[in-house]
Amino acid sequence: MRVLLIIPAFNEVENLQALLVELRQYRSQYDIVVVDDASADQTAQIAESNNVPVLRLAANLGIGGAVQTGFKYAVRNGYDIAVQLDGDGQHDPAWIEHLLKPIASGEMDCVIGSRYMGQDYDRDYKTPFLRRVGMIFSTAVLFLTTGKKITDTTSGFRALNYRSFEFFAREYPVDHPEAEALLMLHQAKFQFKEIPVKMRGRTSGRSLFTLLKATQYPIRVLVGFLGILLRGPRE
Amino acid sequence: MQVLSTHTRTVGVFLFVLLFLYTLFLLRSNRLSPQHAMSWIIAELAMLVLMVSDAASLFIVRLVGADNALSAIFLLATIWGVLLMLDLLVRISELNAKLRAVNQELALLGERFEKLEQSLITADSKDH
Repeated sequence: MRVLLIIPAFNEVENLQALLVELRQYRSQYDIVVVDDASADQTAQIAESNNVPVLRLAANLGIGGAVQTGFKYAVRNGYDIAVQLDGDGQHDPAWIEHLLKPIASGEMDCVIGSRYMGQDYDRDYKTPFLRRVGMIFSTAVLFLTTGKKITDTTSGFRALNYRSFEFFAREYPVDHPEAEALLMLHQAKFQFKEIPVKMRGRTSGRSLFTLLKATQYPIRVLVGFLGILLRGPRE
Repeated sequence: MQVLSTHTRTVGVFLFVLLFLYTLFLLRSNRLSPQHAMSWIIAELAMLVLMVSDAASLFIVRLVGADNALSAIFLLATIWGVLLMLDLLVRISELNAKLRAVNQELALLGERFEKLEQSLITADSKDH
């Protein structure tokens, strides 16, 4: 099975270098593509110097647009599985094989790496307060609309089979897309589940989840969900 | 029911004629496309008719149940303004989606081009 690791990155020069060095041991198993979301720093050059293909976006599209570009690349290059992996290095590549198992066996269409699942709750990972509040809100909204309890709605550590990433290559939410993407999967009758993973803290750079974005997040989630519900399931 | 006073009518007509001329100027200088100018021109002409014609303004007064022509015209203009803004938001959203698709396509083609260029350079160096 051909597996592609999609790494969206925006001004992640230091974290990306460390991540790509770490990924060298997996290069025989997985292909990698970095989506440079119009970074002002040397993010694209770092990827190139590590012999990793780079998709350079001419203008910043945000995480949703960047990840979707990776899905389009995966479709055009005939991959079987796509794995989203943040460029800030918070997602430990050692967990990729755990994400892949339920997909490779045909059990699931999408698997999400969760920091907050049951007994395996990742106590080492310190979630910023505002992000946690936003996550509780989106978990509740997702539960009300789908009946599924997803503990880590904002996790960008996901593996998808061809059917599901081809679906997202055609349509994918833009800002804070993770929770909305799950609702879209549910509506289109894709199977998805969470598995517990451990994540690491960001070592350098700043999170894009700022105070302003955190305060807007609940309304943004509500409006986004409303739009998806009104549009109905997509083919 | 009160119709517009001569003073209000004069000021209103003057301002809307100015706005109309400015729209034509934008159209002429190609800064506004005919497609986008259409709704504005219709709105400006409708407002001019309401300013000039007592019959038209009284019809609107009766339609919305206002006390006077100025309030009725103001209400109508507000609703029209909100509709135009909504129309513009739809156009912005559509353009945004198109721009995103073009941007993504450019990135994908750029990567493909680099790959092809690299393979040509490799093939060329083998030939030599």
